[in-house]
Amino acid sequence: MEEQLVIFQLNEEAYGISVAQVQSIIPMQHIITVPGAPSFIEGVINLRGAVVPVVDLRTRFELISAHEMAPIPQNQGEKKGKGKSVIIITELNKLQVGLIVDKVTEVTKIAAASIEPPSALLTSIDTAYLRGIGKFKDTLVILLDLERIFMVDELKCLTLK
Amino acid sequence: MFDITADELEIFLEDVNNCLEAIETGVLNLEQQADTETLNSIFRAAHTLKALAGTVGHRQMTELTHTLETIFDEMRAGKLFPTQSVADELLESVDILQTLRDEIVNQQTSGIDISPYLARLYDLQANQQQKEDLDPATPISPPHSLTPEQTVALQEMQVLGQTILEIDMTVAAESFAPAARLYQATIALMESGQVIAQQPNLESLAEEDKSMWLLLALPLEGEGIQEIESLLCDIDDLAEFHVQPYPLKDSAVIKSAPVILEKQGKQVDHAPDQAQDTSVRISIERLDMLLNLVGELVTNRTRLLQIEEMLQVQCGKGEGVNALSQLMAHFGQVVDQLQEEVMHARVLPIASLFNKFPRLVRDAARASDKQAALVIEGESTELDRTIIQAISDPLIHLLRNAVGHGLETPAERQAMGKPSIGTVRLTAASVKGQIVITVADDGRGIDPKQIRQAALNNGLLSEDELSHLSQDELIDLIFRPNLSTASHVTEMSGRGVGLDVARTNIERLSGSVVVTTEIGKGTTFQLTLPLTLALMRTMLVTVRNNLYAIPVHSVNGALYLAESNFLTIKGKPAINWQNEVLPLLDLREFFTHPRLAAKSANGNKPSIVLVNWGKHRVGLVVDKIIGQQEIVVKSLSPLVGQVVGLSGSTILGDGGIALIIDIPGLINAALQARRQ
Repeated sequence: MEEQLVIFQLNEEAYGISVAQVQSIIPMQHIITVPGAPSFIEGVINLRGAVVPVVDLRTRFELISAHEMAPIPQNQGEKKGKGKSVIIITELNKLQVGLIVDKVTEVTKIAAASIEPPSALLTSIDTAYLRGIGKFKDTLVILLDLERIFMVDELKCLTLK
Repeated sequence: MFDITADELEIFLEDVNNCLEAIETGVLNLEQQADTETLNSIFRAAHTLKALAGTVGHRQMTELTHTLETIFDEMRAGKLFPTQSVADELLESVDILQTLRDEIVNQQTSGIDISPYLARLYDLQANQQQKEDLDPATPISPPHSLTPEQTVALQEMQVLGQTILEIDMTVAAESFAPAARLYQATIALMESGQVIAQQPNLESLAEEDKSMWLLLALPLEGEGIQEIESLLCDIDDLAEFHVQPYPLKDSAVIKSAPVILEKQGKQVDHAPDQAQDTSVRISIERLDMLLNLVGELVTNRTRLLQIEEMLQVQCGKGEGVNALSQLMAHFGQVVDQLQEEVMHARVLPIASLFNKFPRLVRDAARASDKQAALVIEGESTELDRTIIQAISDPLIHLLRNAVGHGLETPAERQAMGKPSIGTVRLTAASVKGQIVITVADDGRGIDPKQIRQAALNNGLLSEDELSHLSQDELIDLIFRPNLSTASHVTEMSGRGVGLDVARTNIERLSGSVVVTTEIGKGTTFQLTLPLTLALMRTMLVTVRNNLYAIPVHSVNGALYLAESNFLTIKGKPAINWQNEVLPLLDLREFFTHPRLAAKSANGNKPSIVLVNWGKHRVGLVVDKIIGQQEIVVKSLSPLVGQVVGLSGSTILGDGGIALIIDIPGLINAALQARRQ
C-alpha cells in the first residue's frame, strides 16, 4: 500500500497532506483581511469567483508567537520581499480552504508501512493535528490531519449553524 | 423501511405537504361554510394522499387517509355535518398524518398508534348513520359499461387509426397495497397511451380493489400489445393480466344511469392536469446554482464594461471598439433579463406561509380561552423562498403572542365595549423594494409600567437604569430575553423566550422589527425584510484599505464632512444633521486588524454614511465612498465563522473582494459597547 502525498515546507520542516485533499497549488495572492475573524484566518481570496478563506498554518500550530511572526507578503502591485510563499487549495467536506506554506517540494508516494504514529518528540506542533510521521528520502515528513486541524473545534460548531 | 429513495423523497414530500395543507385549509373553511367546492378539494387531497401513502407502502397512513376520504365523501353526500367537534377530530388527524409523514422522512416509526383515532373517526360516521339510518349497500354499476362520452372518445380514436386495447389485470392476493399497484399500473399505461375507460377509475379506486379493467388507446396502429405486456410485467405484485385488441361493438355501449354520468363528469376534471403540463419541478439547489452562475455573469459584465472603457481610452473609437460597445449593450440587457427571470423563479407568494396560520391562531385562541379572528391581507406578495422559510418561526411567535398576550378574554373585551372576538391582522406588502409584514392585534396593548416592573422583578435593569429610558426604549425591552409580563406561563406563550429569538432571526436576514402599541387599542409588530438575500444593491466604501458593501436599503444618505464638524455628546462622537443629533460609529475603529493600516494612506477626509435600522439612526464613518453597485451575496466560509458586523462577502467586477456589512449586527454591537 502506498499513499500519495503533497509535501511542503513550513519553517524548515517537511509536511505532507494527502493528494486527494489537494485541489490546486497557486502562487501567493492578494489576501483580504477580515477584521474580527479567528486569528489563524489570514483572510480571504478570490479563487475563480469563489471567496475562499486562507489559513496561516504557522498561527494555527502556534509555531512561533504572534509578535515574532513575519507579515505575510502581499503582492499589491508587484511582489516584494521573499514573496515565495504559495497557497495550497484544499477541499474538506466540500469546503475550500487555502493553506499558506513556504514552498511545495514535491508530490510523491510513500509506503503506508513507513508511516509511524506521531510523537511529540519529533515535531514542534501539537500531535492532535497529526496523522503520523512518514519517512521519505531519509527525511521525516509530518503527515497532517486536515480534518482535525479544521474540524476539532471551530468548524464543527460553525457548520451546525 | 418505506419504499422511497432519497431522490424521490423531496418531490414526494412536496406532494404530501400540498395535500396536508389542502386538507387543513379545507377543514378550517368548512367550519365557516361547507360548500361543495371545498368538500371536493379536500376529498381529492385525501385521495391523492392515500395513493401517495400506498406507493411508499405506509400502511397506517393509507388507512387513516382512507378513513378521512370516507368521511369527506359522507360530507359531500350531506350525511355528515362539519361541526366544530368534527373539525377538531379532522384537524387532529392532520397532525397525526404529519407525524406519519415524518416517519417516512426519518425512515423509522414514531411508535404512534392510529387505532384510537380511527375508532373516533368511525364514531363520527356511526353517529351520522344513526341519524339517517341509511342503507349501506351502494348500487354497483354494471361491469365494463361505457358512458356515452367514453363511447364517443372510443369512436374518435378508432377513426384516428389508433389501436384500442382491452386490459384486464388482477393483483396478487398477498400484495401489500393492491390499490397502489393498480394505480401504478394505470400511470405506467397512461405514459404509452390514453386511457379511455377504466373500472374502477382512479378516483373511485378503493383500497380493497384487486382487479381493474381498462381501455387504452395507443397512437401506433396494429402494434403495441407486446410493449404493453412487457410494461405490465414490470409492475410488482400483478398476478395476471390480459391484453387484447378491443373491437368496437354497438353492444358495448350500455347507457349508464344519469347519476353516474354526472359524477364522472365532475370527477374527470382535466384542468389541473393541463396546469401541471406547463410547469416542471426544480430543486432549490439547482435554482441556487443557476443564480450563482448568473451572479458570475453580472460580475463579468462589470469587468467587461471596464475593459471596454479602457479600450476606448487606449485605441479611441475605432470600428472594433464600436462593435464591442454595441455588443456589450446588448449583452448587458440579456444579462439583466436573465437575472430578473432567475430571481423571479426563486420567489413564492407568501400565501404558502400564511396559509398555515389560520389553524395556528385558532389553536392558540382555543388554548387560551380567547376568541380570535385572523385577517390576512396581501398574501399574494412574492418573496424569496429562503426568506419565507426563515420568517416562519418568528411569525409563529408573533401570532401566538398576539393571541396569548395581546388579546383580552371575551368577557374583558365586552366590559371594555369591544367586540368579543378579537382581530389579529396579518398583512404583507412590498414597499420601496422591501417587504413589510405586520402582525397587529386589537387587544390590550403593552403597558410600559408593566414592562418596567417586569424588568425590575427579573433583575434585567436597575431602577436607575430604567429611569433613563424613554417610553419607546421601555417598550423595546420586550425583545430582551427573560422578560415576560404574562402572569401565567401557558403552553403557547409567556415563557419569556420567543420575541428575542424572533427579532434575532429577522435581523439575521438583515431585516428589522419595530413595535408600536397603544394601551387598550392594540399592538403592531412591523417586520421589514429585503426582497431577496441573494442579490443586493449596495454602497461601496473603503475603510483602512478594505472594501465594504453597505446594503442600500439601510442607507439614508451620505455626507462629506471635515473632521471639525463632529460633535461630542457625553464623550461620544456625534453629528448634527438636519437638526437631528446622530451618534457616529467610526468603522475605522470598529474594523481593525493588526495587518490593516491605521488610517487611509492618502489623507482623505472621512465621509459619513447615514444608515437606519429599526428606530436607530447612526452615522458610519468611513474613509471613502466609492459608489453604488449591485452585488451577488456570497457567504464567508464557515471556517471564518460569524464575524460581528459582517454578513458575507462578494466578488466585484475587477475580481476584488468586498465584505458585506451587517447593519443590525453592527448597530447592536455598537449599542452594547456604548452601554458598558
